[in-house]
Amino acid sequence: MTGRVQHLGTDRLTALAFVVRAPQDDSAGSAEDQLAMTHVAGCDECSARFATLVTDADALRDVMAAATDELFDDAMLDAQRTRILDRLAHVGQAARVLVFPPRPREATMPVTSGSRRWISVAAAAGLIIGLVAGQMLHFLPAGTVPLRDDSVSIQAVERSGRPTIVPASATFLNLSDDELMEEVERAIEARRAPSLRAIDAFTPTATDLFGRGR
Amino acid sequence: MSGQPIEVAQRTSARTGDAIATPASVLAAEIKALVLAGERDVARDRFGSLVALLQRRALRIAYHYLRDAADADEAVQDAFVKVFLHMEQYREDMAFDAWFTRILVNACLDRLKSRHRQQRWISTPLDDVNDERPVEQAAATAPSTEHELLVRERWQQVLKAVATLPDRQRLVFTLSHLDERTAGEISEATGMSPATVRVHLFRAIRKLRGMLGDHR
Repeated sequence: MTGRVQHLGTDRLTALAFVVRAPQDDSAGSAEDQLAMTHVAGCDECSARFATLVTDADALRDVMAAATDELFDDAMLDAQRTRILDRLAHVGQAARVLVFPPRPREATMPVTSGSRRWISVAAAAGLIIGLVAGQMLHFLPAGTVPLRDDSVSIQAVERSGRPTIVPASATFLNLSDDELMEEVERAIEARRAPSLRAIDAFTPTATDLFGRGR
Repeated sequence: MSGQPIEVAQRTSARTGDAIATPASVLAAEIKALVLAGERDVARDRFGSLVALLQRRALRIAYHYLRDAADADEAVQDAFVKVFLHMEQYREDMAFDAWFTRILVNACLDRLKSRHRQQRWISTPLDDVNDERPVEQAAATAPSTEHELLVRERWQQVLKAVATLPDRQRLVFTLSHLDERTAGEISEATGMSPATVRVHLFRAIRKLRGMLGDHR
């Protein structure tokens, strides 16, 4: 009478084919696994099934590796290696950050704390000088203000023979009304102002007006 | 099959030896020394060699976890940049691969969170597009016999099944199966407890086993 042989199940054999046959460590070298492998070694049927599963496991490994190797050929590996080294070459270099939206452009003149102090002092000094000068002008009598003698006499104009705009100067301001009007009349009667004579013809002269009044 | 346990033991011991001084760990220690010496430019040049060493493996993990080539590319770049920037914190007493894997997984998680935020506002049929990509590429590679096409089609179904696993299960399965990480290493890389890693792994395998072995 022969006892019925208890064969290993497919799950168990597959696990053995994938794990126990793999390099062992504490997980694969359990007593249970060793016992199962002892059975496989002594059982033709389990041994044959196990051999098939081991072949399949190896084939699966090759297929998985081949699937990746087809995607990443040597050229791609070289390119990837170059990219890695490029990234490492740029490590530590400060990245340039583009601000978006851009900030409004500020004054380009570099302003340091020292120059800022000098600017403040100069502005304060200018203010003080301006105030003092203003006060001095205010307190001085009007007659003492020196006036620039940029007046041009009528005679000089006539001598030059050119139409000239006579600047309004302090000389005219010091004239009386009569004297001013006479100056104007003389200017009109000058040879080089014929365009004003037509207007002058319609206008009573200062001499007529003041002469009658007197 | 009697030789199977011996093979397991050999692979285990070989792996234990690798974990101490892998080429990546040696290179990382050298780069760290250069960084500490202030020779950052030289360190960066050497880092290119380290990238070349780990790049493909990193892309495999990132791609199968994220299921998007562009995201995987970005995540791997971010991970390498972060590794170099924190190279001074690398401890030579631990395997560099494990440290790097942890950083890579975090970079992938960042991408995943970013994608979820985007998908909250913009509906993109990401899964459909990416799941089809390997199939399209496989079909376009070369003419083959009917049997080969059937086998390829079957494997594409398996890949789709892997791609539709929940995020954590897919991550654990990818690290365990594709990257051949132990549960302890996966626990370190993901922050999950080893027991949780095992649970996710077995659930993932259970979902996949219907397409393996018996359907051959």
